Amino acid sequence: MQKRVVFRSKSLPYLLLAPQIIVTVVFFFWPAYQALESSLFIEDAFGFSREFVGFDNFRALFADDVYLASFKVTLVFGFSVTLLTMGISLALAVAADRALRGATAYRTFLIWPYAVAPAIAGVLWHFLMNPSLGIVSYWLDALFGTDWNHYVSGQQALLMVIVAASWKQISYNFLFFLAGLQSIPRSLVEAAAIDRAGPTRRFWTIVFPLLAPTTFFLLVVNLVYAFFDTFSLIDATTHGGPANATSTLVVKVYQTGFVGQDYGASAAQSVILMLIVIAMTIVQFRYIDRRVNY
Amino acid sequence: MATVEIRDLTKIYPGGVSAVESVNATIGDGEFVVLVGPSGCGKSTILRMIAGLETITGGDLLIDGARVNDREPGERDIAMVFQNYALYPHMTVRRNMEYGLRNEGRAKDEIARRISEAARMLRLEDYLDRKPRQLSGGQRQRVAMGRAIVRDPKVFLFDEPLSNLDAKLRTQLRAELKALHDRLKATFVYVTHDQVEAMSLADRIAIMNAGRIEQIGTPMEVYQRPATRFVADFIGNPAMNFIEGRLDEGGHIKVDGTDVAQLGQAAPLHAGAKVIVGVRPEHLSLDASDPADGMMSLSMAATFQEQLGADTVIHGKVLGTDDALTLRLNGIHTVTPGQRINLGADTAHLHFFDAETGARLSA
Amino acid sequence: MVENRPIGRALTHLVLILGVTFLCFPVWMALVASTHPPEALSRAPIPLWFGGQAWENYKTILSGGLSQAGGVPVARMMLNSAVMALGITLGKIAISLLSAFAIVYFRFPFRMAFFWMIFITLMLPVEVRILPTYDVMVKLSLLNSWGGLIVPLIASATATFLFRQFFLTVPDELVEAARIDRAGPMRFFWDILLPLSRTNIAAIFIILFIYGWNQYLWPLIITTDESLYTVVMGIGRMMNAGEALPVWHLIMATAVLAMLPPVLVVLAMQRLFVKGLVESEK
Repeated sequence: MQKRVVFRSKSLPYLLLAPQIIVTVVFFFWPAYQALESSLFIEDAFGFSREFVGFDNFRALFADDVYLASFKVTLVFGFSVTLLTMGISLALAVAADRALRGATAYRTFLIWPYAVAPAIAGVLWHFLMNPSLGIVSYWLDALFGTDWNHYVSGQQALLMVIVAASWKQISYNFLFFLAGLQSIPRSLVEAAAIDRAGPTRRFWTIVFPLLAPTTFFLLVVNLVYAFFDTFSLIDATTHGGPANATSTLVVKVYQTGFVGQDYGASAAQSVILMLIVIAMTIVQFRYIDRRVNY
Repeated sequence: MATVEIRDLTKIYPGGVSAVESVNATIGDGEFVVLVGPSGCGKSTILRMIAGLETITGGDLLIDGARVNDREPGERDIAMVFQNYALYPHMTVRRNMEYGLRNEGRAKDEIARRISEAARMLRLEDYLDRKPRQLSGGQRQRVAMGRAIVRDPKVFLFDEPLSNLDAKLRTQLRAELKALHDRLKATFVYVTHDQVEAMSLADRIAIMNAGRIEQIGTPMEVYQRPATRFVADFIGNPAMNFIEGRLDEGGHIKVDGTDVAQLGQAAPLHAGAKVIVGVRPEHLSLDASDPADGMMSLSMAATFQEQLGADTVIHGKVLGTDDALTLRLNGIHTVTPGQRINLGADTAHLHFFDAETGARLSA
Repeated sequence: MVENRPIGRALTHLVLILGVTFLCFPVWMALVASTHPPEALSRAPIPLWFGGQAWENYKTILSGGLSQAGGVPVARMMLNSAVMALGITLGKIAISLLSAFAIVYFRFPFRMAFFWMIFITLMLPVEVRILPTYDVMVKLSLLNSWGGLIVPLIASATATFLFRQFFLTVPDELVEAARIDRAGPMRFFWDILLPLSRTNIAAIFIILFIYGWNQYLWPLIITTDESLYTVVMGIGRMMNAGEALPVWHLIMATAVLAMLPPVLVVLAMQRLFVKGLVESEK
């Protein structure tokens, strides 16, 4: 899509673009290039000397059990957050779409957690599940006899960050599902009702297939969120512990670089992460292209 | 006031599509010229080239004798009224009309004077502080005209300005536009696809087809002496009937064996060539019983009728053929499907065209 | 709806009420905890209703902060967050409007190359390239400065695409009318395009303000100077320092304060927020 009429000027468009392009080159492309370059070197802790080592940094990473474990943590964390979030949000969106009374009030109470920072979401849940005074861990003990202690149990720690991360992301998913539901023509649902399809059947045969584009879009968005935007949530609560049980790839790259001061290994991890984002963006964009032609 | 002259004006879009091909025309000072034609004929492209909104691929554009091909639209001293009005939605009517004058750096009191003058002329005084969305379609159109008038330009350009309005309002604004032209005595170039609009407004009409001007002339000239079959078909409603004839050795045109006319000058066609005979529905009459001299007689098989009140339009076919034939009669008439009707037409009202080229043949 | 059975209706409301409870409960507990003295939060079960020490708790952290975490007053952190968030938001909007204007309303060599450059930034979130970006900041001596906090974050592919999308829907005739009215490109931008974009600017403002306010990693690596601490990142430091201490009442009060501005923005401008969110992802 293009404009029929445009202004004529030789230099003005470049001037207009300059601020954005300068920021992009200096703070995005330059560091990305540095990451690529450094991933091929080993540097001593003081930065005095460095040595070209080819793909040794990458080889070392893939031989490192801790790093491979963080891959697994990231996948478990990412897919759990995505499933939990989308399941709850879809149920809420369907209910909100059906509710005649109080729909606006419900919506208001369901969307505001979008504004809560992931770090704060982590802090809130950390408090609720605190082993000695958290109200939720107290209830778990009282009702199921669960001995909750995420400082010790890696599984419990992972579960806690999954719940916290999903809690924050529900609003976003809810809004998109609701928008998707509201864009389905009423007449289609009515036609299905005339064709004697019951409410459940109507949902699975008419509504859900028409929501497929939204669902797929949210799937990618939630995975990107879980992989990259939850660093603060984990860093403010478990720091990736106990025993790396909540150490996702992004937590790992931070710790290798800033805590471990291992430049080459951190850069190599950055390169791997970039490849993951690029792959996900391509998937997302191929899908968006299709949506345009829908 | 000003003249507009276009010489060999050509527009080829990137990608090679040719929209206007070597068009020539001269528009006189104070003249109201309407460009008319089917969509895609290039009429809007010519207007937009005059405005400077479309670059000129070839040829020259002269306003008041000065070549303006490379001037920005704002520097050509023209004003334009758009089909969808193109009013700035966030500005009041007053601000919309002022905008161009402010950009020219005119004095405040002069701007105020021109606005109030134009507002009075267009009966917009009560709406000056409203936003465009608070106005009706007709009012918006008048604001768009007001925006043009206040600039006091050399040339007014109109791009289908009435086609977004309903039929009744269109007729009313047509009359207002005509009155406005009489009053301003400015040069108007007006684009429309509606031939009724063209006929009722224009001093001269330019009928366009496929990037070329087929004919340019007064409304009566193009109605009475269409230069091509295309013009004949385009001007007039219901459209002209076309019947196939042949030229014989003596220069006579024969339809179905009957001699209908003698070509005046040496015919440009060889004997036996196909000729198209055109006759307007309003020039066909029922009194064919007395085949007097100078009348062509025809028989038609009626299929259906449209009773319009003042007129009746009867549709059918030339008897024994598949050629459609339309007949327009005053008053109320009733036919039954399949009914045979004998018709006559004064040969003075017949038009002849070369079947190959569509060019007019003089009788 | 096609049907309206009582059981279905009851189920609908039950689901919604459960959802609202799940989403609101953590914040309820934060509000409650922030009004109690430390002793009330020392053993389970902690109270579910408000205590009487709200004033003291909020006063303590607003003016004195948490002494164990450097004692930076939360009022100061809130101010820093506001400056950073507004700087990022306004910066993003300004440069994105200009970029979108250039890309939509001009034809020039390398136009698409620039478009793709902006697009690629979507693939390079800061989390992914932390250390080299830190290095660049060191080389440019931007650590511990407002410029360092704000400028690197003002590139925005999302906002550029949103404005581009909107500009493409502005009728061509408006540009044509403006050109006939002797408006050059910048005058058209100021007088016509910008006023027409008001709603879109407001909508994206909300999204970007929340993004800016909630930054955590960036201030964490860029600032060591306490006078530049922001509240979201500051709360992380409080957690690290005070987790084992009986200061949950103060941490929760800080959390409430840190949530307040972005949540208020969302609630006050709900309709614009929904529009901005749903449209910026198209």
